Amino acid sequence: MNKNRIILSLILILIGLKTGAQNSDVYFQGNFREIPFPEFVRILERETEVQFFFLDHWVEGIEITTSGEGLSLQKTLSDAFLAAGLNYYIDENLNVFVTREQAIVTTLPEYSLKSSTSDFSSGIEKEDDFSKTELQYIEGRKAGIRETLIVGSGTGNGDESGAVIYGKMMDVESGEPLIGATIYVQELKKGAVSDVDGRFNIVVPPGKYTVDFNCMGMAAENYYLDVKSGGNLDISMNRSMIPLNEVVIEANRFHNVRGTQMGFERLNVKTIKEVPIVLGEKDLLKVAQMLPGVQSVGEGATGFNVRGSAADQNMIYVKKVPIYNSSHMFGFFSSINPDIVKDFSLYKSNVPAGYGGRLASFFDISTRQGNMNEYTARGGISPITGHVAVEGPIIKNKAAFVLSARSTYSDWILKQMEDPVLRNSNASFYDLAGTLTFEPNDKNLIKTFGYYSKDKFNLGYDNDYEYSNAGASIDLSHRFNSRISGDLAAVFGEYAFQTVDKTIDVYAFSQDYRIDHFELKADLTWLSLGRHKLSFGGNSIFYDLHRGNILPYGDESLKVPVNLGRENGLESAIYFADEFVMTPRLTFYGGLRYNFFMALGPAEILQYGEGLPKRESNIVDTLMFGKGQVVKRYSGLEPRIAVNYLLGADNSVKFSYNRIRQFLFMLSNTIAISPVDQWKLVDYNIVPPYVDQVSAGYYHDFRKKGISTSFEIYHKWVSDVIEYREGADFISSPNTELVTLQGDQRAYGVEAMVKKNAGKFSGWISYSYSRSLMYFKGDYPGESINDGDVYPSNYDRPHNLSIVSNYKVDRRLSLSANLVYITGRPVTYPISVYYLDNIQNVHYSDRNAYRIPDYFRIDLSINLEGNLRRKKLAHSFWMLNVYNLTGRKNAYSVYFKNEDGVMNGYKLSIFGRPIVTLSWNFKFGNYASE
Amino acid sequence: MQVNKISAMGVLLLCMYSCVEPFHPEIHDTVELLVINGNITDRPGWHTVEVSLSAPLNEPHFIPVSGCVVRVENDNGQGVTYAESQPGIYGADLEESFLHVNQAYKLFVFTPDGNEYQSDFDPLLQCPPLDAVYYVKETQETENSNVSYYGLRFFVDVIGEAEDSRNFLWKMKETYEYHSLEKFDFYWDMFDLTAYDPPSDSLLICYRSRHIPELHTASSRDLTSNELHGFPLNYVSNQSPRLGIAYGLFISQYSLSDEAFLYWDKMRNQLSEAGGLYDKQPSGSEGNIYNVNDAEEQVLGYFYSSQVQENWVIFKNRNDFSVQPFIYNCDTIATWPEDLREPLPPNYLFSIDSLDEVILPPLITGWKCLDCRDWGGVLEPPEYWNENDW
Repeated sequence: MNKNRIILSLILILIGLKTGAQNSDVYFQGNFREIPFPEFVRILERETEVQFFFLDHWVEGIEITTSGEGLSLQKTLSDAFLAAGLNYYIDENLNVFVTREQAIVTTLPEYSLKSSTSDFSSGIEKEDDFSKTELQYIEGRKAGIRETLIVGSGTGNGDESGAVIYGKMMDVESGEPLIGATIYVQELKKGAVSDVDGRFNIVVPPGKYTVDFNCMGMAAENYYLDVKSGGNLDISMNRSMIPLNEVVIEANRFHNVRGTQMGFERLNVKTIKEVPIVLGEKDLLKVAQMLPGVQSVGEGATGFNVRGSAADQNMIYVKKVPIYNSSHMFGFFSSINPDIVKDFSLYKSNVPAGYGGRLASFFDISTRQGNMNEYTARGGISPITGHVAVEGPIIKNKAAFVLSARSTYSDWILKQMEDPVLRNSNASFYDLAGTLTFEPNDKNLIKTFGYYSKDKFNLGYDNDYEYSNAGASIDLSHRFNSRISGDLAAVFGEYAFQTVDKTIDVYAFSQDYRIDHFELKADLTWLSLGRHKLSFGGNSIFYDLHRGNILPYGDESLKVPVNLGRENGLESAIYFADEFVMTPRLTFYGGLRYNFFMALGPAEILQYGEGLPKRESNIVDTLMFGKGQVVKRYSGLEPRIAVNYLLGADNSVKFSYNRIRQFLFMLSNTIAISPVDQWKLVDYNIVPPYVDQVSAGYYHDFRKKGISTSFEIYHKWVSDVIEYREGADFISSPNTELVTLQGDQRAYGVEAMVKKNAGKFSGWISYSYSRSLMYFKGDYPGESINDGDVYPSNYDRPHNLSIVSNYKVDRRLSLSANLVYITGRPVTYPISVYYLDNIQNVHYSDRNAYRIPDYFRIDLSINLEGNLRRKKLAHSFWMLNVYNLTGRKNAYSVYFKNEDGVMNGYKLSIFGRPIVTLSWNFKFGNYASE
Repeated sequence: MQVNKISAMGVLLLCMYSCVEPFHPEIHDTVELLVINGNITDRPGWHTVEVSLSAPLNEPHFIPVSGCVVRVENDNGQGVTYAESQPGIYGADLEESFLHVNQAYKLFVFTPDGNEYQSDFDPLLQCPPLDAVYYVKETQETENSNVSYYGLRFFVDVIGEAEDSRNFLWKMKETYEYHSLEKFDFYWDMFDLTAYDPPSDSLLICYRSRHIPELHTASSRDLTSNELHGFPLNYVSNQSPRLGIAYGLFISQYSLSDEAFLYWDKMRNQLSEAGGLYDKQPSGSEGNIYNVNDAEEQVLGYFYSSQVQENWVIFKNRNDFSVQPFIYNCDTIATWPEDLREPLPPNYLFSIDSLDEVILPPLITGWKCLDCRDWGGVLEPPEYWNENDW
């Protein structure tokens, strides 16, 4: 055949297009003689806007022979495909879909309004029929045609005032639940949002309605709903034909105006797929730092700061497992493999009553539940890591698993380092995670999750360090009846580190630390008929902290062993909350959480003179507590109140007030959390800090343009916040109160966000102005910080602007760009010089009186998808990433160093030039596969 | 220390494309604080107290405060008044009878503006002997993996008794030997030329000394016994000419009270920031001196009492390292003796031999290269410099 592959004076000019409601046509001219079909396609795609989709083996042996002007592509293809039994379809965008065996629909059947209950939940496509995607696609093209979904029966015992509709929204292909999907009843202006299991419920009076179903990345569904009585309504949604065009936070669209949520963000892993990120590693928590109110003290710092609060005031849950150290490699990466993450929700204010124990925020990360229908896998490589996840059904449509693993091979980078100490260092990390989901019936759901992450490094020959997170959870969801459903979870979490310091032999020591977290948690939701949605539940956490032993290391060491002791505590809470739709415009959320904490023995407690500072000189007694004895109790109520008033269909105002207590804290006297910082429970001498936060906001959606906006203002008062005394060191102090002080913090700010969710151009702009101020004033000398004057916290960075944008050139190629501007973090500079024995010394300003230079960065990425064939074994995705495009030398820190007796100032920049990385990811299935 | 190390790794690891560059932030504020610094040792002799003011960061200089009355008292009520020997420097020749181990001392300073400052009593604790000072050859890799520096790391060993002080401050004075270019043959005093035969070596060998502007502190409080073995002090590399011929390190070890140790250790930390996010917040630099009339006034500096122990070590370079010579860039001019005349300044000259019967100018004038003193050294070695000990 090759010898016949002769192309004679090929001139090809597109001379006309004809598009109609059905099959479009393309006219071209040229001279083709026995051109193999793929070659014909290549030429046509090059010279015209036509795009072909077909499998190579279908068209083997097909040749095109035609010449002239005004050639019809339809006719050409019809002739060419006749013998091979192939069909084709040309859509209005000049995409040519070649199919085999399946019929090509060139005219839509006449649809009439039909009444039937539909069930797409099986996820199984019938042979020789349209796939549901195709069916939806075809049906969706004809306006005014809607299916009617019937819920309940006419003979049911439906209450005229309301029928409870409950159900599940899921992905038709994978069977995975859709989180944050919305159902909206147009006539009632009422809606509901699916939970992490894709489940929703809503109360509507019997009647006929028009309902919309929406979910990020899924094609919107629109139905007539005939509610005869309460009942089940499962909805399977199809992926959007062009998912990339709707990358951001669409799930929040409904919430934005109508929900009572404030200070709430949700990011889907798809959202971050194309966001440029340093070293090409997908990372939800890094992208989260481009949301309003979330920031860190510096590039690569462990943890993040939400609305001016310390990093230990954030709770990160993955499937209810607490992650006590969310970082790999000094904070460069999150310790959670993005392959297993589905999305996360972030609560910054108006925290639901079901959450407690952290003052600033709750990151609730949900993982993929696994494909219920078929086995699949995904993975990728970047310059730092390789990662893979496999998933599939255990029992089709009932049980599925996901297993993921990620490991670094970063040592090669260390070997390239200029710094000789680093050249002789090693650093590595890995993490493993898995889920198992079992849904025996529509009333029960069992979810299990396991997680382990480990970091290990040594610095030169002197320091060894390793830490690990481990966790597991089992979560039973049960629907008792149409109104009441509940969750019961058992959770285990552990964070541990071990370290060896061999810098000076005589001081060499090893230290270990471990915190274990055992939790039982129950949550119940009761949907009353009418306008109330009640939730109630409780949890109990038993903490077992081994603060560790400091032991001499090596023969030369004379280090005195120090046992920092073991701590136990029991943190319990019960809560009750009601979301009450008072009027169609006014929704009230009221919750009350009662916290109860007991510090438990064994413990040896120092007692200090009443009203006197906690100093060794003021110790009056030592109290001994046996194992399990209650050392101290703390308890209190935490009101959670929110009000949402709809000003119109697309705009609303909201208000909320929250109180939260925290019983576990991490002390750090460094700018950022360091790897040797330890978690510690409140105790006899350290009282739990608490926060009161009020916030108000205005929310406006421009739905036609796919734009949602929010503007929030907040003010937080944190009491009894814990800080080190000036110059104090934690590591060798079993009695923490001797090295700490408790004071107050005030944080306030405004946050604005504009999101565009649809169209070729999407993304968001977020801006916040925020302040975070600390105040530690004691009655005695040495009991204050900064002489008792107010000072900015390390993470007080008032102006924070982030722009995240994505422009889709076509279905395969997209460009993304970020812009980040943040005020420099506060810093304490030397302001004067003095001499002691001819050595220059410096005197520092008030704490954090200055700021390092402002931070500014632009990133760019070019993302190329593999081909868009629907039926293919695997799909890949390339990402070329330029981090810090302008090469700006942003200050990471400014410091002063004594050099031969003279203090010199230096600025350290981490990424002083553009960082270009190329990463590659793959998954089995096609472009749209999950 | 460990945190700093980890910090360093974190920073450096992140710094794969980083850069450190000099940076001078705009600092408009400054405070002029009184600085009082001094100590009492158990060694009879000249003791000083410095009274000065802090200077702006961008104009660092010593601002003496003159006209003060300075007095030191012990806890027996004995006292000695110091006299101003240089602007801001007050001194006294203290006798042995005033200086006792386990006695505490307190400083009083009356400034010309009428303020009275006092320190807390600081005890003069017994200092264990400085058991050994030694060096170990240490190779330091550089940013270029093919280039390494060689040099010496100096260490101390301290072996103390339980009742001795467990806190130490080390002050170091280094001395190194260097040589002028040649012995000299002639001396021109602007009028006459004096010849030396054989050539004179009287200006050939010099010794240059300085106090090393570094603070080193350590404590054995967290150790099972009052001992330190192999505690590292300064490092001298062959990139400096100091190791060229002989290098001596004289170490004074000061005992410190717990309070004084906390202060000096804090000062040491402040001088060695790593620049990472794991650096601690700088804490206040207040010492143990306060204004009797105004408790709010911040006073910098510290008054402390110490017993002093001394030891030293000398390194003789026996081709251990190749070191750049101290004097290597001499301006030379060939001249004939008869051309020497006014107004040529006084100078030493040396002759070189003719080579291969080529007639060379018989004299080379060495400008600053024949008198080693011109390079800042002195002809006399320090007292401990005994070549027989090497």
